[in-house]
Amino acid sequence: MQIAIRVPAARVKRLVVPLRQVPVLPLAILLLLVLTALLAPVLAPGSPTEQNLGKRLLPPAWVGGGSWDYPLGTDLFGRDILSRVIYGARISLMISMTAIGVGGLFGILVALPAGYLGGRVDMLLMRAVDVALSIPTILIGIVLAVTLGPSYEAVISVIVLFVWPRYARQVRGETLAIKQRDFIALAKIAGSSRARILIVHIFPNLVPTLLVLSSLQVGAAIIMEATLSFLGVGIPPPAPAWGVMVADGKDLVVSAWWVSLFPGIAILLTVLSLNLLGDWLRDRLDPKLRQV
Amino acid sequence: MTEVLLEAQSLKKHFPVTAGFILARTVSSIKAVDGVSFIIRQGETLSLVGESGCGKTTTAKMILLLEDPTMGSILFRGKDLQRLTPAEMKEYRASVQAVFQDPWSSLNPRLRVGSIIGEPLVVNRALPSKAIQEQVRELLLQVGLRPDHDDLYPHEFSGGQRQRIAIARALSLKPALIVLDEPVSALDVSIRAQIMNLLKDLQHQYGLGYLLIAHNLATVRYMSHRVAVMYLGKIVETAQTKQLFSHPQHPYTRALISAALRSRPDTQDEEIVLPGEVPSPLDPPPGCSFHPRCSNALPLCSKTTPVPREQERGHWVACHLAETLTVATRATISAEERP
Repeated sequence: MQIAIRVPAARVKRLVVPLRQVPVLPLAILLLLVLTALLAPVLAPGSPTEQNLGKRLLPPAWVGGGSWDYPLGTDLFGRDILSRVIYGARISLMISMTAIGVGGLFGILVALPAGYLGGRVDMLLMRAVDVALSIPTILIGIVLAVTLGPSYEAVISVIVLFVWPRYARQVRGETLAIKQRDFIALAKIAGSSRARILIVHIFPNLVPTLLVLSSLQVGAAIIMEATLSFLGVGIPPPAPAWGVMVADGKDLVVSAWWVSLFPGIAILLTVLSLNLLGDWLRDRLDPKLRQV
Repeated sequence: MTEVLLEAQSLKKHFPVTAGFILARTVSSIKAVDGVSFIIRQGETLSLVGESGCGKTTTAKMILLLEDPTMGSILFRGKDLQRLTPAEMKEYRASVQAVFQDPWSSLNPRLRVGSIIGEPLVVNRALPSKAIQEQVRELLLQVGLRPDHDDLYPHEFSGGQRQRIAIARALSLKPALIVLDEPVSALDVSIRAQIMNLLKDLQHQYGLGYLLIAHNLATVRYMSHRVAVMYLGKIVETAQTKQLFSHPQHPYTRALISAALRSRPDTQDEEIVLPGEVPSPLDPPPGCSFHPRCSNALPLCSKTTPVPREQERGHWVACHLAETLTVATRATISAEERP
């Protein structure tokens, strides 16, 4: 007697093939970043805000005059740079994730009806997007900070203002393209409701675009936050935001390069990893490329 | 005579052409479909042929309720669609399904094959998911695929297989009529015959009516019982398939058939080459819309629009000269030959 065991070869292949091309380094860096943010109190050797004026501008441990009590040295107020960089990951992640979540959701909510319904709705919503895109966000950030004082809320609002029209434009274009495909007409023929078409047929086909866009926009959001903080209109000191730290060291680059170098590297690695991951996701999630 | 399934009565679809940005006004209209009437009987294939832009697809879209007719009516089993109750309308939607040309665009790439085929059932029939899965597996078998293909994604199939999936989905609600919009023209020639035979088998098995839209005359000849030839939004000739190919009467039909590739390259036939271009449906010529390109045109043709007249039983021709032109036209392709 023969017993047939079905091995779904295609499914095995689906899991194995993509693993080979995973961008290991960017993923590892981002994982490290998330872990660092979550475990900051455990990992940091000291307090990120405690000042020790007797130990100002200590160089990193491996440079002459440095000490392993302050592995990456200290800043102008004698604060431990390693601890500040570690706590800074929390701020960067929290701010960028919140802003992307709110901005992305808002952008999608604007773009789906615009793209799917078209006509006058589309024209009105997209003109609003054009207006939003032409707002100089950094300037708005500065004005907000000057009038209301720098705050987390202000930074998040400015990034939301920056991010949502970008989501809206991309999602609307993608919705227009998906709407033209025959499976949408066939869904109507089968009697699917408008809500069902949006949820079952359009939204899942937007997910790859959203993932790629988000991974790139998180990078942009982190840069935006750092920029605002660097300009002194972002995260209020003494919070250890990376942008603030780079700004703290900007007059000292020649004498105490470590003050701005390490937070600068943190920004660079994070954003670079996000962009590399975004590129990989785009290749990976496009079903047409996937079958190759 | 078998039951008339669907009847189109002087269907028209005019698309407005607008000018102006915010306060758009209609300046003219494109007469995509301009008074088309036909019937489809149960178990019968009616083909609509004609070159691109002649209104075949727009006609199909009106039947599928994707476009509203500007004028005219569609009767399903003798009932005007505009007078149906919501429940009857739902039943109409379920009774008329479609298979489209491009099998890459007609299957949602994010759904498994089981969900694609089962969607019409999920939407229209209150069934437990187990029962739907059973039916989906049954349908996959019927279209020549394996029942366990239901948990794969569309990109794991070839074009021909995907078209089989599209057919299984169209069958799921046990429809009475399926609109086939160029169902094989995107497929490799080697696959076409398989899909055409599958469609014919299913037609025999379920008594399905087909409205076939195609431009390939070999496909039309093989698949259909009757053929309607469209030119610039109007049907110019309707006849039984055999009759139409052996005795085409309208000058446009003759030119169309003479332009098709011979199945025997050695047979000599004079090819009728039409002068000029298809006129714009924005501004169709007065009278018979074919007259500027017709070699037999009389002064009458540019003044009066010809009404379709029955020349022989079931053979309708919209041409003023139909009677005078009925010279024995040679059968260009013998009836036994099939692609």
